[in-house]
Amino acid sequence: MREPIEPDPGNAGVGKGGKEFLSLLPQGKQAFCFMKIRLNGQDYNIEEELSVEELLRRLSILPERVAVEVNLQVIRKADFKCFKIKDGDVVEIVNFVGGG
Amino acid sequence: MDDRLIIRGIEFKSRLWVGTGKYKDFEETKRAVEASGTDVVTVAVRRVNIFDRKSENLLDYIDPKKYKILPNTAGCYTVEDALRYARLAREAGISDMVKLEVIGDERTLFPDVCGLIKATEILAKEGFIVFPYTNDDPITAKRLEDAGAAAVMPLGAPIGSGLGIRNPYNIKIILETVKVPVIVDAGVGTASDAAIAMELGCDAVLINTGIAGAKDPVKMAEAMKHAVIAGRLAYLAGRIPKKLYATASSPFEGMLI
Repeated sequence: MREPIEPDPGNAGVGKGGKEFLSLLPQGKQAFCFMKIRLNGQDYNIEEELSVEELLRRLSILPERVAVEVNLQVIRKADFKCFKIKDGDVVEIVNFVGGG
Repeated sequence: MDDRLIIRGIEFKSRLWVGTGKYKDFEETKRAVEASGTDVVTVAVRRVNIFDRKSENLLDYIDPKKYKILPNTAGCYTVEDALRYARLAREAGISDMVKLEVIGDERTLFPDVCGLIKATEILAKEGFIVFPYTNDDPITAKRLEDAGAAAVMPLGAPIGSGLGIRNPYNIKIILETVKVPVIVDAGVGTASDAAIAMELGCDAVLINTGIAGAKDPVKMAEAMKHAVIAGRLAYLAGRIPKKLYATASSPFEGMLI
């Protein structure tokens, strides 16, 4: 069985140096089949379709200060609860940083 | 005196706008922004750090209730990218304002004006309040105004160059060409540059590197604040014409001849 802690081996270069990968699975849960998503340029495996809200919750990201794009489509905050992230989706989560 | 800057119904209390890039840390950003007296700051849109959730957020230091957040599309080289970043920024933030950048060249960071006009037109139609970063060309400024820009932001000199207002005459012509506010963006290196922009009659000045890159950014922020106020007052006061020869300030009358 594959370790449900991601990203998958294709991205082994990222997160080196003691950084812990975030699991997209609920704590303690073991998954047996996976779907692949691409999140902020990295591949992750998730065990089921997730709403945007659930994804952000698992990543400990506050929804108020971010914007989410799925397959180049901006997801309105009002739709975070109902919009499901599916197998193969390309997800971007962005926020504001210092800039001129 | 009523000298408020109002753009699309939004009142800006300060005519100095500041960027939040290139600071040592968020604490310094906060102190410099406070010292500048501004009420509008620019920010960039970038990926959230998925791995390090403990890292602090800019908005922990720059309170969006206190400052107007003006997101930029910095780093975008195509219309499509600029639109994408602008739409994400609107969803991440709380306003329709965007400082639109469509960059044409990596070395100069000069704008791709064809792309800029196109992106301005599309975003304006989508209800954005578009502040396009443009070059100091009056014709482009006019095209941007026609495309629906809320203001135009001509550069004084290349971004981060600190070369000052390289073509004050073009800025002057832009001021006479467009009805929308003119905000000098980029190139301001020190207080006198900011004052010159304001003396020309510009509505505001946006500064990032000129403050963030100074040896003492907080002190420079304060200097810029005073320079912008001084330049604005001088513009409103109306300067004397320049003449080649002297005109005595003291009267001849009563001299001991």
